[in-house]
Amino acid sequence: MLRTLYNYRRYIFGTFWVDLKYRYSGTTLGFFWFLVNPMIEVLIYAVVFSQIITFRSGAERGISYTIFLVSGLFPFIAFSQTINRGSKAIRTNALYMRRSLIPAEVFVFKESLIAGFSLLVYLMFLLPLIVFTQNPVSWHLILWPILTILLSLLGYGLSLPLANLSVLFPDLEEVVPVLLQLWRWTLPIMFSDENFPDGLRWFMSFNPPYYFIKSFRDIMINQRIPPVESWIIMIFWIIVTLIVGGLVTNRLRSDVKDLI
Amino acid sequence: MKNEVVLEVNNLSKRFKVYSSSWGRIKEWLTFGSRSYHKDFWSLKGVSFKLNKGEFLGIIGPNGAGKSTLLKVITGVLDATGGSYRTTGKVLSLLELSGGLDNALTGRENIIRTSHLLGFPDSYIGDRMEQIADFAELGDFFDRPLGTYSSGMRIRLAFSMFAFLDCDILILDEVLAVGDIFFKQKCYARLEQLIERNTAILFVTQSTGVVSHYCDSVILMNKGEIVYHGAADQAVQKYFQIKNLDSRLKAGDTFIEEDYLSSAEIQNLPQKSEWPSDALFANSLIRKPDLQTGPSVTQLLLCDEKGVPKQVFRQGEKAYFYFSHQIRENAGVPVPEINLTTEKNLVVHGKNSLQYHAKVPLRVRKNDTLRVRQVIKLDIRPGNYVFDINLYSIHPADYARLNTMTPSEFKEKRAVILQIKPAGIITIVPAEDDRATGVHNGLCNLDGELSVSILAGVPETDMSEVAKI
Repeated sequence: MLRTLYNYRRYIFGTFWVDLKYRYSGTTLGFFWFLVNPMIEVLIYAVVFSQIITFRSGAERGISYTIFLVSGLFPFIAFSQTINRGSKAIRTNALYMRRSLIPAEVFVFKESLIAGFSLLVYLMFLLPLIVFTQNPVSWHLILWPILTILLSLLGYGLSLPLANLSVLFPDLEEVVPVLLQLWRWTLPIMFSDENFPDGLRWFMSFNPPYYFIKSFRDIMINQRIPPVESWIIMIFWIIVTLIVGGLVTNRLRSDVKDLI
Repeated sequence: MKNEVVLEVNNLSKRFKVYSSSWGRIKEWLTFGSRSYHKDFWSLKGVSFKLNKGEFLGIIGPNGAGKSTLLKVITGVLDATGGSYRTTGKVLSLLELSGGLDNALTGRENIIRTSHLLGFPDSYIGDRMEQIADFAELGDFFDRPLGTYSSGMRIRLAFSMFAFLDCDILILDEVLAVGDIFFKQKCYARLEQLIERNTAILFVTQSTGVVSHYCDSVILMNKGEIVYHGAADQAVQKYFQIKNLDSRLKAGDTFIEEDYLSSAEIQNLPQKSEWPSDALFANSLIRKPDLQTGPSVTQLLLCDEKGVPKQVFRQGEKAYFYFSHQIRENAGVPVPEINLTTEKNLVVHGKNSLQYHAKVPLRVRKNDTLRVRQVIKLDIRPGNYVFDINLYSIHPADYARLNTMTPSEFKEKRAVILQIKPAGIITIVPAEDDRATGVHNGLCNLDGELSVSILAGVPETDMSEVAKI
């Protein structure tokens, strides 16, 4: 599977830029829309949770709630974008699937690449904001791109089976966004994981994105390198999802081709 | 070189599982396949053939015969259920033309990207780009996004691109069904060049004319199987048989020998004296690529009263159609027919031998040459017209009871021997004595007359005087 992606690297990167360039073509604000949606979400949650409901977050450590929020929300937005668009990727590229030999996983991978890229753009945007609001900036932020890559891989692994299955069961496409909405609330994004009951926190290692979000928080809020257990669990989930994704893709490849 | 096999297909079959709903698939998975909730549809059933270097192989067949599925399996877009195929060298496929092109990219960028996708190195396209641009004749559009192209332009681009990429097997599916006639001719010329360079071409089409003109051999498919593989003419003939299977009487077999005209009677039919020389046929202005021009098979000549071949007639002039066809298989009463249609496919005029009450033989035998001469007075509005030539046959028994048959029954009973559609173009120009008003309004100059006379009335001045009184 990795070899296929390598063989199609030129196609992936070539279309990646074109996709970015044209995704918002025709709109007046253009590429700016890339940032508008997440910013609005941040605004809503920031107002709701810092002004109306208050949680224990990093606030007592001199970090504003907004920064705390974005450190979890931005990665999750990128993650849910990967899943959302990735799970539709085969169907939206049906035209190419029917007429060319490009393997299905290439289209799914491209979506996770785009989402990962957007997460890097968010960081670029975030840095001046952090400085401007006089929140502490630490060198740990250089781990952000590494975590971004890992998170994109997780998204890729998870959306692979979904993308294949949604060809066979189109209903899945409607289910995925709903699941993502629910998923958001099972993760410590709007609040700190200290708000979770102790019993539940242990259970969280079964929630694949949990340790990813936690690690993003570690580097931004706690200003430390995520502990070894975080890395192990993240790598574990990436490997598991990639293997499962690859197996499902290969198993269903012929059926998907027939049906698309 | 020519006998080197580049594509070998062995007993290839393809099954599609047809589920009535997604639940069927889920249930099947849950029972681990022990129970079946789908119906099998076999799109290909044991197809085998070989393709040699430099061979132009056509595949024809009615809709749903499995032609496209076969190409998709060979190119790898679909996986085969059974059997195998082996290709040697580079395979390029133009499956459903212009499908893989990106609207956001310009023509030039699309070519570069497609060449990457097909695995050509970066430098490959460089010097070929200008050739492609020349061939496509897209002008400024070549560097504009594909989204601004018309559908014809997309096809030009796609074909031009594929015509200049080196490959050992080129797979074309219903290409050239669209596009203007001049570009089509250019494409066929290019295909012939490719064949000279030992490229093998696999060509799926509905156009029997193209197949019989270009293809070395033809595969006829029906219901997922190869029905015939061999000479183009035979395949086309069999193709029409399949299409008319239900209505066709078993031509030849059931006739008794006496039905056939005696040689004396044949002599009485329009004869050689009225037949133009072969040289004229060779000079015929009708140069449709899909019309056979070989002397023994099908000939067509269009000329005026004086026997001068032409395609442009003055309004009201008589057109002489000479058409000969060598019969491939015994048949009943031949019924030749010419239809004249406008560019918008409106049939202006169509008349067959029965409608002319022409004298016809009761049957024709294999290898007989049927000669037809038809004269039509072209008293129609100036413009371009297309004419088709059809040759049907009906059973002598049916011929005898023509008067009692309904029109739809007649259509059912007739079998197609040959259909050339379109056979050629006729251009009508205004007659010499044409005035500002034109000869008439509308499409046809119908026979008729008009006279004007005046009945002297009371002058108006007188009328007012009458009123005063």
